[in-house]
Amino acid sequence: MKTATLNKSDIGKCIDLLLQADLRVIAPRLQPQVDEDGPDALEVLTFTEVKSGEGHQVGKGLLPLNGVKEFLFAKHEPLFAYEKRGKKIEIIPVHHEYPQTVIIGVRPCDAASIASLESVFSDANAGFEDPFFTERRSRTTFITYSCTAPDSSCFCTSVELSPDSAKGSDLHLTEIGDGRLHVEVITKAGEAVAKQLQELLKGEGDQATREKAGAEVTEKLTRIRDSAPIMDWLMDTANFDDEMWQRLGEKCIGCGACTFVCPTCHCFDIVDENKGSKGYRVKIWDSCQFDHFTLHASGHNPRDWQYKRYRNRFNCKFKIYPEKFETPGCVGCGRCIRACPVNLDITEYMAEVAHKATNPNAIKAE
Amino acid sequence: MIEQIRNQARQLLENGDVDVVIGYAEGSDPSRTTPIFIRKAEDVEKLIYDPRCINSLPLYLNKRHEYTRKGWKKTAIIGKGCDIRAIVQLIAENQLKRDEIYILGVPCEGVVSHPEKWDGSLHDGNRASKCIGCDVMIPHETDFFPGEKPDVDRSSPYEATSKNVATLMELELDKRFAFWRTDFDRCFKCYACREVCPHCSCNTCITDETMPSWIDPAAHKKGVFSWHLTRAMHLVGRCTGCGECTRACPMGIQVDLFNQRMKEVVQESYSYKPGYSLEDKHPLITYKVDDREDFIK
Amino acid sequence: MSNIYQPDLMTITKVIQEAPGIKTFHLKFQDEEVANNFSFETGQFGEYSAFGAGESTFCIASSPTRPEHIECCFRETGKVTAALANLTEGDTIGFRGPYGNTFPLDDWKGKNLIFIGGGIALPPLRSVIWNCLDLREQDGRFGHISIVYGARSVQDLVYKREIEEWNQMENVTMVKTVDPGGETDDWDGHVGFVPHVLENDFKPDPENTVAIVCGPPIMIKFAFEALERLGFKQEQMVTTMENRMKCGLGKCGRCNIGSVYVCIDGPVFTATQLAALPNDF
Ligand SMILES: Cc1cc2nc3c(=O)[nH]c(=O)nc-3n(C[C@H](O)[C@H](O)[C@H](O)COP(=O)(O)OP(=O)(O)OC[C@H]3O[C@@H](n4cnc5c(N)ncnc54)[C@H](O)[C@@H]3O)c2cc1C
Ligand code: SF4
Ligand code: SF4
Ligand code: SF4
Ligand code: SF4
Ligand code: SF4
Ligand code: SF4
Ligand code: FES
Repeated sequence: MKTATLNKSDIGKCIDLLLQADLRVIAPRLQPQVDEDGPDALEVLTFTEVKSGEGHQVGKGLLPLNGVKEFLFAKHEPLFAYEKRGKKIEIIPVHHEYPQTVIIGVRPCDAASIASLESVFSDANAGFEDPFFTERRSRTTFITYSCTAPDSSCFCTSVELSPDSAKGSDLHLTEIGDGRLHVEVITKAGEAVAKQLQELLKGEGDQATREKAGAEVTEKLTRIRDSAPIMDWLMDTANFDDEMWQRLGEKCIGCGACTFVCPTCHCFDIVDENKGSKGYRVKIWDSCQFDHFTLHASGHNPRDWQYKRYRNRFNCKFKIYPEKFETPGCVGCGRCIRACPVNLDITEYMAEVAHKATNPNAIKAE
Repeated sequence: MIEQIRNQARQLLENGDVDVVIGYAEGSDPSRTTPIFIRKAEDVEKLIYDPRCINSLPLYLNKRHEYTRKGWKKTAIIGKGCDIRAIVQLIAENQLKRDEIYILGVPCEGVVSHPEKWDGSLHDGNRASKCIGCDVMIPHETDFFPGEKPDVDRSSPYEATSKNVATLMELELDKRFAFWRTDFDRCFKCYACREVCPHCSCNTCITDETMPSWIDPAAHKKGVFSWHLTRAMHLVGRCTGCGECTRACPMGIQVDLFNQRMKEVVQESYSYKPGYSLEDKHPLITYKVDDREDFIK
Repeated sequence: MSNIYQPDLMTITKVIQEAPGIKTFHLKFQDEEVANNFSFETGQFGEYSAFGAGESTFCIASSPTRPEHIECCFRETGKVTAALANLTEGDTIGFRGPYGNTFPLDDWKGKNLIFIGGGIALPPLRSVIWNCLDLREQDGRFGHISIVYGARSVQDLVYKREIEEWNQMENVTMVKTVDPGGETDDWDGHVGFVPHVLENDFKPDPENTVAIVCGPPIMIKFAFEALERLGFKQEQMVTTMENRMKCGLGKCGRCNIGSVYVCIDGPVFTATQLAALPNDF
């Protein structure tokens, strides 16, 4: 594997070089606030398309609120247009020109989530390929950046990842002190990008310092859970009716916050947006936390209480994804924990399941 | 203070006076607290109250959140003043009956605006703007209150409007619009703003209505603007200013700035402050001879 | 780039009002090439669209042995079905499919078949009934065929003509029933809920027999229980699930029961398979 070093202060220049090469660049940016210092204002960091290397937050904040999902799986995706002409209908394909894109400053958890989305949207899933996803995916390169300051909600190490993991990355950056970054070229796409940045990349990297730096950050994680026993426990269908689902889940209010911020949540709805005799059929994000998500036309709803909807979410992350799609359902980014307005915490479920799985005779964990 | 609340809660549960006590407990990390439903007297020790107790618990009394399906005959709830305003408003709107609710009022010194801003104490840098000038720190409507409840004059207009509203109102219209455009661009319609709102209590929210579909369900410009403007209209004179919609938004959109502005308008036009009286009816559904008419031209 | 979400266009060649709020469409592909390449097997479903309203999931109600056109039969329950119901002969709809697995006809060779259905659930059964009748006619590959079908009331019965046709057929036993209170003066069938009539009046012999049950979840549950009491084993019972669907492609995430996605792993399941799934339907 090729390595190099890069000055941290040259990241803005990297972005400019990529822009000069006619690439679309997406980077973390702070969003404007009405009153930056007001008590109600929070820093809002999001992945946004940038037009210059100035003002980027690559390597600065922790996780952009939106993640990279919306750049591969759009919030609103016109699938085709139609026009009614008397009794006839004409279908007009929508022409999508996806620009070659580089997303820079992606954290390891987000990078690892791409493979999960891909396992759903690619033809590996039942032979049906969602071209809107796969075409974007094939034109997107990820420059990842090892974390330096995980917060109290991060738990990537509990799901077989780490703050310096290069999984899912094309070109991986890790801080190695003195304002320098260790650069790892992981894939062909990463190599192509490295070529664009050649004038800024120097000599060889420093693998030993990089490993050490990664290990030090890994030590900083505080939220550690044992995820190993979870899947087996969930596989036992008797546990689907365990008392813990209701006890832990009754405070859930069924907003979709946890699912919409989640980098691996893939659910959507298909609706028509009609105007007169024309319109579009569109794909829009949806959430299993909404009460009408599974509501049958007959009025029957298999998930008729909110705690059952959250039970589905937990199963989706720790059983359905690994079992059906053979990829991780949760990358430990902690977004759902930060976003939940009622502090429903996925790692509390993890801990409870691990406890139940390893203490089968425990009557009830408090 | 919390000891007295716990004792009262314990007695209520032991005597079978209530089925459940809704309150706050320690959350999953030190800056957070979490709603808790206490059904057994021995669990009252879990109850806490301090400036991290942000959530507006009355949302759990709202039928959107399965309240009416739970079969609780009498519910005790811990309320800080602003939450009790929400309860009072729910009662005034016939969403609840006064005698099915037992209000354990707490004296409040204010809460943090976001858990992320908690640094061990409450100060001007992290106090929620709704708490500045709040007139229900000693709550108005309670069934139990720890200690003496002094009389408080609550006749003056709000002072609780966030500075942000004024800042926005001073902007040129196009700048203000540009602000909302960038902010709304982030909205992905998770509806956390609706679900945390004690007053979004409709069985079927207008945005989930499919026949006809009033609001585009998609999170594009049109869908997002029509969602937020419609919601703001539905809360005129009903929003009790808890600020939860802004606090809950995972994309950092200050949703409640609309509601705060509308609150001022209702106050100026009708001298009405929702959530203070169990009987007062909403000004937009009542007519008084002295109602303002100068906007009819 | 082929777009899995783009439907093919079909013309409605015939509309039949089956019962109040229930219609059958006969459909033909507008594009000849699509028509020539199209094939399906019984048990599969499609996504039918009314442009301007959206898509709805219905099974293909006709038999693959009768490929002149395909049929769907639907009840008006919401936005899309209301828009479809407003269409008339000659109008265009969209169709994506066929999707999902199929009834395991190969496993049924030489066996007696009992089809049990309730209400609007006859369409998926109708496809497999005609398929089995036609195949038996060709090479006698199935034994005796019985049909137990019921609805809330006489006027809610769908496919009334065909029920009569099946009734007239030799080596077909047709048991029809309506819920108590739903009968008319000239009603010549049973009165009682389907599982009850099945267990107490019809009493099928489980020997060398497969039971195929379609209906609302609650009916499926009671019918399975009744069959078990009659001595049927789980592997002798088959059903189709109608979870809410949108994509039909295993992507939109709403049709799952545990790790099973009904749209791609179903909709046909044996009772053995269902018993191994979590209680989420
Ligand atoms: C495999 C399969 C086969 C099927 N086969 C048939 C068949 O052969 N014939 C048949 O008639 N049906 C069949 N169904 C059921 C059929 O798919 C539904 O009845 C149909 O999709 C309803 O569509 P609709 O758009 O008209 O209703 P919608 O308008 O989508 O909804 C119907 C009802 O659901 C509720 N609802 C739905 N979405 C929302 C929302 N966003 N917000 C709030 N409430 C909502 C409402 O109460 C509404 O009245 C089948 C289903 C499956 C999965
Ligand atoms: S479930 Fe939560 S922690 Fe896991 S990937 Fe999704 S948002 Fe991140
Ligand atoms: S089922 Fe729920 S948890 Fe799973 S991907 Fe869909 S929205 Fe996310
Ligand atoms: S877990 Fe939290 S974020 Fe997710 S739906 Fe429930 S309340 Fe909303
Ligand atoms: S909570 Fe925020 S992102 Fe969610 S719908 Fe409301 S404004 Fe949009
Ligand atoms: S609109 Fe916002 S501030 Fe007003 S009551 Fe609802 S959640 Fe609270
Ligand atoms: S936005 Fe309006 S319609 Fe929707 S729940 Fe709130 S008040 Fe009801
Ligand atoms: S219908 Fe979309 S996943 Fe099954």
